[in-house]
Amino acid sequence: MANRQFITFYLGDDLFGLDILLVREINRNMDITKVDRAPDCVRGLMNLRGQIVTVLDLGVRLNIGARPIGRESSCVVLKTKAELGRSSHAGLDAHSAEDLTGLLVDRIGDVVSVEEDHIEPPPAHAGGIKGLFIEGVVKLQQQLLIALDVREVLRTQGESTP
Amino acid sequence: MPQMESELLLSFVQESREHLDQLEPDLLSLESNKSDAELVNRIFRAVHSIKGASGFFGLRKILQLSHTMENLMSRVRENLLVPDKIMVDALLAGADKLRALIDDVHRSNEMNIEAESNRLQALLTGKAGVSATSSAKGLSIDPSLIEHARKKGHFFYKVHLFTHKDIKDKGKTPLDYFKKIESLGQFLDSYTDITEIDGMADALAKDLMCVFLISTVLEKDLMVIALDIPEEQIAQLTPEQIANVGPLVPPAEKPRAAVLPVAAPEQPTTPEFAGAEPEPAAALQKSTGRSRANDTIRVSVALLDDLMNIAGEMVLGRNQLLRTSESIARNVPGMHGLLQNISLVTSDLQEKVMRTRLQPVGAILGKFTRIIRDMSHQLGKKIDLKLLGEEVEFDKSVLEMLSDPLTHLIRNCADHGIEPPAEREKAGKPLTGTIRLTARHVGGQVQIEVTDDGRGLNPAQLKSKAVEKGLAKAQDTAQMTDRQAFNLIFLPGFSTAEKITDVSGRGVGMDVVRTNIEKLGGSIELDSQLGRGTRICLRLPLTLAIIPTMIVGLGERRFAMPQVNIEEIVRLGGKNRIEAVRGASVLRLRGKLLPLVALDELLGSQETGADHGRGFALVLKVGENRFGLIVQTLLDSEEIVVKPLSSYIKNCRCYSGATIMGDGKVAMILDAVGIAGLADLQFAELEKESAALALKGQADLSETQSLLVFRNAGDETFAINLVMVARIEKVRTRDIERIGQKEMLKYRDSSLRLIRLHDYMPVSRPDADPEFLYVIVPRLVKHPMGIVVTQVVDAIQSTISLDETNLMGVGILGSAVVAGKLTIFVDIYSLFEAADPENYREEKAAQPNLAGKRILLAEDTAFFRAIMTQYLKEFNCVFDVAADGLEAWEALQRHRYDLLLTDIEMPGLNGFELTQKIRASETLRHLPVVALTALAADRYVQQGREAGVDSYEIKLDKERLKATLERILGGVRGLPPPASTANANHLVNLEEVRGG
Amino acid sequence: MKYEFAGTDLLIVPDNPLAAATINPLHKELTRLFADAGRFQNVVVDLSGVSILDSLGVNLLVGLYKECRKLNKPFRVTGCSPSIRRLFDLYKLTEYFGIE
Repeated sequence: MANRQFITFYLGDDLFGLDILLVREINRNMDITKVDRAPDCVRGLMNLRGQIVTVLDLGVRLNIGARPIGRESSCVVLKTKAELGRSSHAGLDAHSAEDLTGLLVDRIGDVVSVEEDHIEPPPAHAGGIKGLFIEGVVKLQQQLLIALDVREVLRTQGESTP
Repeated sequence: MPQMESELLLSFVQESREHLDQLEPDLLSLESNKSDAELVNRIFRAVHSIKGASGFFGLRKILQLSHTMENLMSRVRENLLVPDKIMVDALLAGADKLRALIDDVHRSNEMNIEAESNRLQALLTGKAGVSATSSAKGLSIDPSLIEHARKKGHFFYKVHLFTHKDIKDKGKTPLDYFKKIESLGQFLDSYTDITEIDGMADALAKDLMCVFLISTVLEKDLMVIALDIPEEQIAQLTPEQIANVGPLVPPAEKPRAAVLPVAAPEQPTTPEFAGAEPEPAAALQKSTGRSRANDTIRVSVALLDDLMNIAGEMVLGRNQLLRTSESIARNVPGMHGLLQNISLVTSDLQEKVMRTRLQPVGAILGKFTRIIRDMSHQLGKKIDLKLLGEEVEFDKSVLEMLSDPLTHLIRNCADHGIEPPAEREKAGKPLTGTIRLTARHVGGQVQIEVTDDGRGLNPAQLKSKAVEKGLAKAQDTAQMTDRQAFNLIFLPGFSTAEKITDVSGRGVGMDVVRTNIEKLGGSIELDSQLGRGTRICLRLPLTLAIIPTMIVGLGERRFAMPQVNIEEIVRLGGKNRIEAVRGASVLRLRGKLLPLVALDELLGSQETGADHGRGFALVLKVGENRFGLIVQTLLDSEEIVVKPLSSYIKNCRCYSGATIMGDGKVAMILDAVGIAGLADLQFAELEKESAALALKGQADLSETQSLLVFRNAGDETFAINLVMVARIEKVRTRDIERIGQKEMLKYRDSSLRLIRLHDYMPVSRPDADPEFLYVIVPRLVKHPMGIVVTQVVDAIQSTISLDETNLMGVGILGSAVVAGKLTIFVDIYSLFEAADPENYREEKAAQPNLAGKRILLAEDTAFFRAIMTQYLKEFNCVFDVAADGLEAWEALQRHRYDLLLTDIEMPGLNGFELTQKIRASETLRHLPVVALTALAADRYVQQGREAGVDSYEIKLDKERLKATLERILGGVRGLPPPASTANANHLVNLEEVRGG
Repeated sequence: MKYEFAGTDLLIVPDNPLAAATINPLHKELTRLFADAGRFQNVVVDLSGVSILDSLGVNLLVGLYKECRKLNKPFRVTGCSPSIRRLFDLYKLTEYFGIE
């Protein structure tokens, strides 16, 4: 029986999760430099041991409102396409970006282990966000875990126009 | 697919690509170097390598196509076929298809290679001679032997032998050895690669490789012992693999085929040098050979990029370390030496890492040969491409960005520049057009030139095209120089072709080319001669990775502006004021109007509201244009490591990257080109405005004066301000009457006294009077006398800075260099005083009531300042001089003055504004103000009246000025009747008088 | 070795053995001969007197062949013993050496 592990985090009261294989690290450093004229979902840039991470405001991206930075705010730093490409998991790199990207969340939850077939298909809405961003939902003991479709979350707004 | 196999496949793809990269120029060269054995061999080996490995991976189509090509090359090698254009074309088509197959290797087996195969086969068939099996220098096997062995459960092996290493050095002879092998099993096939041997010279030294296939009952380890060769040289194969022809690369063994190195700086890839070259191209193309393969190693580009980053960070860290440890180092013995050491090693490391990224530009130049060849055929023109400087090395990133723009330029040359042969003949040019591509390092930059000897650019045509397309206005283009007309090409939407050939596209190119080059911090210039050709010059910085920048602050944040764009930095405030012209903020800089952009406004930052007038303006150059970026705080200049922008931010035109500062914070790198675009600066409009201002003449800020230049004797040149000249008369020398010592001339119903310069001034006397002389009749003097001169040179506008100390004497105001000649400026007043002391002494006697009066003079033009100063000295005033309105205002705060003598047109605060301020001030509003102007005009007078000016004077009219000053300071205020309106075009019909 | 010019032919007759022991002087002499390329057009190597041929001998023959190709002169080998012929077959040199 296939098992998947999820990194979970809260946006408001809702619990979301991403496949742990996609995550590079969780960072509590909130020294984010704002970038004017950047799209709203870009919270800013952060220095991660000499590399620049583009921090996306997950709330803006999911259309549930920008996240205020609080004591428990964290940045979930994702692996890059190159890093995933080197691993042995086929097809995972579709769920990543070329550059180092991080997601701004309110509070980090536990690592949750879920059996593959307990993941139900996405409803039209959950937790106030569109089904587009949801890969599936899992009924945990205490609440609903919304597994995010990272590919959708990371999708940039189409081809660049000057 | 198992992991290892996919790695091998990747390796195969990469290697094959390298082979194909070399293959194309080699094939192109083959046409002209048919008998070059080494060339033929190299082509053969390339195809052969691809064929061999493809068999292992089951890439059938690749195998088939390369096999056919190999066959063809093999015939060529044996002189059974001679390569001609048809064959080379077929091989090129084959190579192109191979590339397509390699690029999509997983689907290559489904792709169609019929066309290319048939073409090649057609060349193979119909040729007499050797049967297919023996002509192939690879292996080919009798299938029945395989079948037989398979049934018997025999093992199949592919064995590599080296004739020296494995046979000779072990004291064996080949005959014996092979006899031995035949005793072990069944030879299926074999061959020996003799391509390594070039000729007699190296024959004995070379270790030849022999490959054979054998079926045997012996298991592998027994075969190893029996053959007495290393295990890696024996590979066991399945019957299917044996059936696929080709040498196999055993998994554990390093491929022995020549590995083309990552960077091959010494190998010229150009096949086509013009016939004029003394050395045949072939001689220069030494094969890369086995020896070089061992000197290089393949490295992933990602790894090099990382190394580059790290080295960059290390440099910055080292810089910081040196800075912070300055003070400590003194107190710690030996530390200084340690720091030195680290510093040197770091610099060395960085330099070497940078070099790994350097690639010869030949890497991208090579493909142009092919492009030109194809285009020549397509367009029916004869074009020769000469490449020079392919070994010039560029940073990889720069090279990548150059490829597209260069391609576009080359295509343009071929398409629009070079004429069809008939046209060329008519023009007396050689039938073959030449395009020359040169790369070189010049002064810390890289320079690439594309030159053609084609029809050149027609400025008139460019202008009309631009107007036609609505990209420029007719009246603007009418005024353009040829150079400016050439730059019209860079306007978006331009294309000079009559019809759009699909070869070079729809005119979308040149503006994009320029933008891309400028984004790299480079520049592009065009020059052309109609009928002779065109030259395009690209300049680029050597590397993009670490750049010097200027750090500016905005609130808490910092931004970096690359130094390459910064021309100068101007502190705003005082003289440098922000003004509004046609609704845009501008700064006047040396007579030109500089459009301004405020950084905080541009970014839409919350920190707006700061006083822009007190910050700094970075004068940025973007292509031909300049603009100023207003920033509040100016911090250090620093070298930074450029980190690329993520895809989310790439669309922000104002940034070209990001960097991590010394304190770990992220700073954005500003993009001058992007900012100019975003701010939508109207350069053209302001250019016109600047020009208009310059032409206004009397309102001019620069020191342009209208001068009359003349000569008295020989070469000595004189000048007086045209304002002082009423008329110039041409007179017959014999009409001049002498009365006593004086000379007189009948002039308008009265007599005009004439004076000669040399009588009163320390200047040369002319030898003899010519038949005609000229008399300058001055204005602005009480008792005018005519000044006799022999030659009136010209009336010119010139900027002058008057030197009052060099030449001195009666009648000499000073000297200056005008139009390249040292010119004496005549002081009419002192001259006349010397000539007619009685009349002028009167004036002197009436000592002005000015002694002890304190006057403030505000005049920004040095020339007039000098003159006015002299006048004031003569008036015996106590006076101060201010260089502009603001200075004058400040001076007025500090001291008490009796009168202000002010120029009108001054930067910052002009004369009227100053007067208004004065009138508005409690303490100053009764101050008499006399306004000065070079020429009086009614509108000024009106304006002045409204501002509160007491009197209007002409700058050079000493007497009137004195009178006015006396009048005012003597106690009577009020405006006198307006000065006689002088007219700039009053008299000078110099066509009549210009002489000599 | 012996050699002679017959018309436009250069006929080379190496001694036995064509092998390491004697190869160097042979190589030197042949190099000297080939320096004067204008003297001959065709090159023929007669191996009738050779029964022992080792790797260096093969190399030398290949060298001669290549040199002739560079000079654009026909090259061939004659008088091979059966075993030497067999070797050339295995090496796939028979075509190059113009052996039927």
